[in-house]
Amino acid sequence: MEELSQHLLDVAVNSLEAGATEITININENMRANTLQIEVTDNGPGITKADIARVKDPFYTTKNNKRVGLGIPLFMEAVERCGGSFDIQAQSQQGTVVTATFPHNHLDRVPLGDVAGTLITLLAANDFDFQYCHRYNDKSFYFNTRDFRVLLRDIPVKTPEIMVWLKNYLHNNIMELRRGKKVEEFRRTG
Amino acid sequence: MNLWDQIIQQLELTLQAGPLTFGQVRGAFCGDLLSDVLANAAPGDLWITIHHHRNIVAVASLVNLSGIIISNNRLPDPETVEAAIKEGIPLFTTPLNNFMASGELFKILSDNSII
Repeated sequence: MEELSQHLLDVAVNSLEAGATEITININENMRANTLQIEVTDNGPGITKADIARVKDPFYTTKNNKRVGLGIPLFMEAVERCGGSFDIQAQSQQGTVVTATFPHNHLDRVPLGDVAGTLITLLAANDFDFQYCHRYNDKSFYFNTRDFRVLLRDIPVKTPEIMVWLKNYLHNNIMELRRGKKVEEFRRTG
Repeated sequence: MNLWDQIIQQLELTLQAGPLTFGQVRGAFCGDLLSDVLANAAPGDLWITIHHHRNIVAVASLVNLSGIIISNNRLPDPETVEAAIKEGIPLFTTPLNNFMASGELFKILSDNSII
């Protein structure tokens, strides 16, 4: 895929289709360690050991099992082609954690892309709550829909004006957070 | 008609950024894995790719490519255009996909005995 945010969308949709109602997205960029890590945790029913092997195998899937598709294999491929690491784990009580770690400056690591747009797309099409935490070296940006709903009182989040505002808010904050990087030095973007 | 005009016409190119005069096209390369392009494209190659982010300009500049063609109606990011202007690399878009664009380009380059 052309942007990492598309993988994020895919993993989140998997979670929601599996019945999750809350998703935690952590993006951690550390230039000193040269890593970009995406971690998606949900509160869905979790995943069995056998299913972990299955979602990683694109040829195992058939149409009668809609939950499993090319999503995870493509995400893994994106990680592997630049020498990163990928992991899916079931949490002890319930829920699943998907973690992808990329070398930040690798040429074949596609840009992070439009994370704000991805979050808004998810929010517009589903009823769920998410927490978003983006770290960039020692700076961070945090947002969660629960607090936002409290703030809005009776106004639904899906009101078009609210969605437009939220998209800009997320976009601007993420841009602001990531601006500190030395792009010229790395000659690479995203 | 000179070579660039033929390429622009046959591949339905739109210039998105670049210098007033284009460099000489010595060949062509098609690929979307940036490290592969960096390793295997030759100076003077015209490169066809689906990527539209700024890194493509960095690769083109390092290999000294004669230009970049972004395929399948994709548009370059504003920062890609900015970088292409700064680096003086011709940046085009085409409605053709990688395969069709490569096919057209191959025809022109072989007709002109360049490849």
